[in-house]
Amino acid sequence: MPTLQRQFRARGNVRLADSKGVWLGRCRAAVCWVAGLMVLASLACGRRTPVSSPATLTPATSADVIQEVERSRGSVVLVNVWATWCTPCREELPDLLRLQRELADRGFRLILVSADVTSQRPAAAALLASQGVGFPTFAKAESDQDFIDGLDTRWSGALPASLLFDRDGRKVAFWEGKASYERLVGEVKPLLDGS
Amino acid sequence: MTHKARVTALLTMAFLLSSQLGLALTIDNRAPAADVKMKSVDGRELSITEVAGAKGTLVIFSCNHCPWVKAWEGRIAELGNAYQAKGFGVIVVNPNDTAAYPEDSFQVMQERAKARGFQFPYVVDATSGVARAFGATRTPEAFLFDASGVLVYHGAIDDNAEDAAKVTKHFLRDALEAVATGSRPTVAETKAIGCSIKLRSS
Repeated sequence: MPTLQRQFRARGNVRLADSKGVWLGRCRAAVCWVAGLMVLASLACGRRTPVSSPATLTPATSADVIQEVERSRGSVVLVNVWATWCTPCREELPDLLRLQRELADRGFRLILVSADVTSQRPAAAALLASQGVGFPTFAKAESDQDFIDGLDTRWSGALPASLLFDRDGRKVAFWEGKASYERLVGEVKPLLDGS
Repeated sequence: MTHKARVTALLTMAFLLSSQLGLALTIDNRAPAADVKMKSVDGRELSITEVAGAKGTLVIFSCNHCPWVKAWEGRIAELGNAYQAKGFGVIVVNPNDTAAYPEDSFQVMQERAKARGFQFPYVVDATSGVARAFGATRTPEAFLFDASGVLVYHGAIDDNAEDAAKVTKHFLRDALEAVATGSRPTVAETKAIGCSIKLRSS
């Protein structure tokens, strides 16, 4: 009998003799393969692994958002208001998420609030999921006027809008418009180091 | 420097600074950049001064690509057409950078004006300078001047972009009605979510 066939025959005998152990081994191997492929995929996609279940957006008024900021006292918090229909918002999102990934363990929290109309909320959830967002995010559930003024009276309502809070929950910066990664780092890092 | 010169210099600096900071035109001020000619979809070159109406003047910063504009556009057309017929000057201004946002091109503006039945000019703010002078930051954003030419209402069309049937506060319509009867709008400034104006780089 050719050598290869003899080896397969032998292995087959071993399987029959110790099926439980072999199945565990096979499951372990399968998990390793899947994990390995996922790691490769995430590396290929710039570490953004889509999450399987879309992030649900919790409805929030401006008061709710401020409460979330207060709950995060001790961390530096960046609130970013965005919408699926807002091109600069979508362009900025990867940089915000990069910042969040890099600085989370230094006490930085990103609070994303979608200002999409209700019918667009599923699209917002899907977009966030495709960007690998697995943390809780929010959706505006208040009239425009009250929401805008409730967050900052300087805000005209244009998107994107960002508010930055220090570790004591004090608002230290507000800006409208897309910010580059460099600008975000420049705004956030001094607050992380300073405290 | 004389006192008068110093005050003038300070006021000029304050105005320039406020434009740079994007602080919008405040109530009771007159329209800035009012003589700047802007190309309309029908080929005419028009300024705010030239379209100003006997009853008042409505300037709306708008564009083609923004979903909030698309949601409100029917209402913008209705109000613009109705109040132009009543003696208001009406002009809708697109200040966006068409290189960055090709959907805001002149051709699409022409198509949109036709599709929506605009009976008023839809013009191009070719340098975004008019938007800068007004301190406008989003589309749509309305500025209503009364018969004497001072700003009496600034802000949103109404309180519900998504659904015209669910509007509870008709901000712009009420403001136009007030000015038409010679009164001041009771609500002078409102805000709404909108797309940021895509200023052309100067």
